[in-house]
Amino acid sequence: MFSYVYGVLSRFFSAPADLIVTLIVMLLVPLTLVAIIPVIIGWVDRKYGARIQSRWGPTYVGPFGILQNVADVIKLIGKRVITTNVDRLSYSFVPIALTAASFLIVVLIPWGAPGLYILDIPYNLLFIYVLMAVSPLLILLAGWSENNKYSIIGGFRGATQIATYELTLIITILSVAMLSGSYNISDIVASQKHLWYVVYLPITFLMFVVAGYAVIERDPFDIPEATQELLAGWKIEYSGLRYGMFLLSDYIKMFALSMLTVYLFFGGWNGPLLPAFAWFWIKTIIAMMILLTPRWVYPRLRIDQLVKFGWNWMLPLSILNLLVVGAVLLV
Amino acid sequence: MNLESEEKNAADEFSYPGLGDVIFMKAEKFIETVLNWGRGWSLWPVTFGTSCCAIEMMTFGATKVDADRMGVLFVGDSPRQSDLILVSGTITKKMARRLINVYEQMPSPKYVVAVGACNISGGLYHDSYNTIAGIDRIMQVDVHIPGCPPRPEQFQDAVKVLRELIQKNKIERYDKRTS
Amino acid sequence: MTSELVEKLKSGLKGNITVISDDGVNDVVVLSDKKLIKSAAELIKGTHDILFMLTIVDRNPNFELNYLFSNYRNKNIIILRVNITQDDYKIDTVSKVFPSADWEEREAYDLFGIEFKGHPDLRRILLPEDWPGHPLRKDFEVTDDVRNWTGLDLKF
Repeated sequence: MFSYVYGVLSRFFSAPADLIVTLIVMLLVPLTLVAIIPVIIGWVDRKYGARIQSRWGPTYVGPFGILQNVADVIKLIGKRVITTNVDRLSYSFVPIALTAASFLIVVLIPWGAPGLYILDIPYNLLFIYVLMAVSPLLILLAGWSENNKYSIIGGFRGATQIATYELTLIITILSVAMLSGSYNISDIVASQKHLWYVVYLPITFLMFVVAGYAVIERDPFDIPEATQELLAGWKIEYSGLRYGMFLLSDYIKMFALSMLTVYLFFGGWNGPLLPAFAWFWIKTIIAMMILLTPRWVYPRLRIDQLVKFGWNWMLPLSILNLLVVGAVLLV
Repeated sequence: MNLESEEKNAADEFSYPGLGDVIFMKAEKFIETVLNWGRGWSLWPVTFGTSCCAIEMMTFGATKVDADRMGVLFVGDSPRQSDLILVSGTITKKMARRLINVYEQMPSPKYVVAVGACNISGGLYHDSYNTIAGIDRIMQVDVHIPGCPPRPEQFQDAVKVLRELIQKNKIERYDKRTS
Repeated sequence: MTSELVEKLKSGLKGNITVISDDGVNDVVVLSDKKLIKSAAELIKGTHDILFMLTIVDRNPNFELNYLFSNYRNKNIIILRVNITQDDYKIDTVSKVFPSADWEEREAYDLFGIEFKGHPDLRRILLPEDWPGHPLRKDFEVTDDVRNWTGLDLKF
């Protein structure tokens, strides 16, 4: 990707300038792309949820209310931030770090065609683990820094929930990586050329979706920010742009989860007739619409139910699954 | 002589704004317009329901009169993330402090909608020893909704009026109690 | 048919009891000495379980307190009536004997200004802490001062 952009831009700029311009373009284009996508997904989510509840959702702002979330973001930018007795450093650090971590996930994933990377590293799936493993610490830090009883309860809940389900998520991804023999998403997609992994590993797929849901804290697993119990959980003291960053990072994680689902289990960009890019985006949009549904359909679980289910069922099942995959590969 | 020098001084003090000032003023106006557009279309309310008006407020968010169409999203989060407080229901003297407490926790810009007769003049309880007869005695109200209780459509109209006020930049705070 | 409880009260309180009704179902007795309220309550505690209501009548300037007791077994109630005079609006608490009297007495204190001696937590229950006056008294008038009172330090 970098070399392609460099090749195009070096025709217009001379020796030192072309590198700098390429770098700026390479920084700005993904950033705008990554910032616009959650706004669009947020609109789709609101509209879709409204139709499920037989409402209309945003209607007046722009055609079909498509600019609704743009208005929300503009308002959040112009909003004042007030705090009382917070730990300034960690309070300001958490939104930036959490948003950066979730944006980096999208930067590391290929964008729908072989070689269409923003940043290409050989072990990108492994690096995505690491970025996901950062979030419980940050949530705990946010909950503690806000100096509020709801936020500290929410922080502990979030850390518990994510630590429980991250293990399952990592082990399920590991069984996919074992089957394909690589941690690179391109190789995993290439090895699904004839048959999708969802046929080989249906239980792994289900576990991946449930664990992924718990890790990105989406309803019905939004226990850390359970509105009726904790108001906004660990986000309670955040206002203005920082709260907007949390909203953006939520939707970015949602997007990353549906992309990963398509890459790991539904054959990525493989498909007949249509070009690779089109196949990938069709699959991702279908996956995302299915993954957006449970929020509006299912009620929230309790924290003890979720954690018990995680440790008693999900983790042993995922380990068993890993062993079975290993045994099949050996035989 | 004296008069002449004074005129001269006055002429010296007055000067047309330079190009930099004009650009700055225009940019400021433009940013304000954009921000006000966003504020008008994205009013997330704190639902301060104390009595019967709260039931109508719930209907305002529900299916038939859909608040989400105008960007009024009932997020149900803390006052820190809200812009609008819908004071719906009788405010007793004991509740007044709690109301002010919630109001002070909202970051500015923030707007107040007084719902129902009790919050306009006291309504049924205008002569009572224990109610605030109209919440504009204790805080600045931007929009009043009459009715006892008002219909959900009136909430919709109030939000429309408030949005027009915000986008025309007509909301001024004389209330010192701003955060 | 006479009530056993009324007989017990008569013998226990030594003539400080005037009986208005003693049919065994709706007993009404008047206690003439307000200092004996606690021992009367202790006697009633044996047969009746709860104080379900405490009503106050303002017979200006005196107050008439009606303690309404009932039990969980049958429909029998007993009303114990005490008069307190204007020299001091004070009476012993029964909240040690009947725990439900706690909030009833707080309400009586809040709205009528009757002080209950020995009450564990005698604060206002409905009105703000620093509210002036006791609004359900007959001599209380809703003046403009009362109407405009907000209890807030208004800055505008």
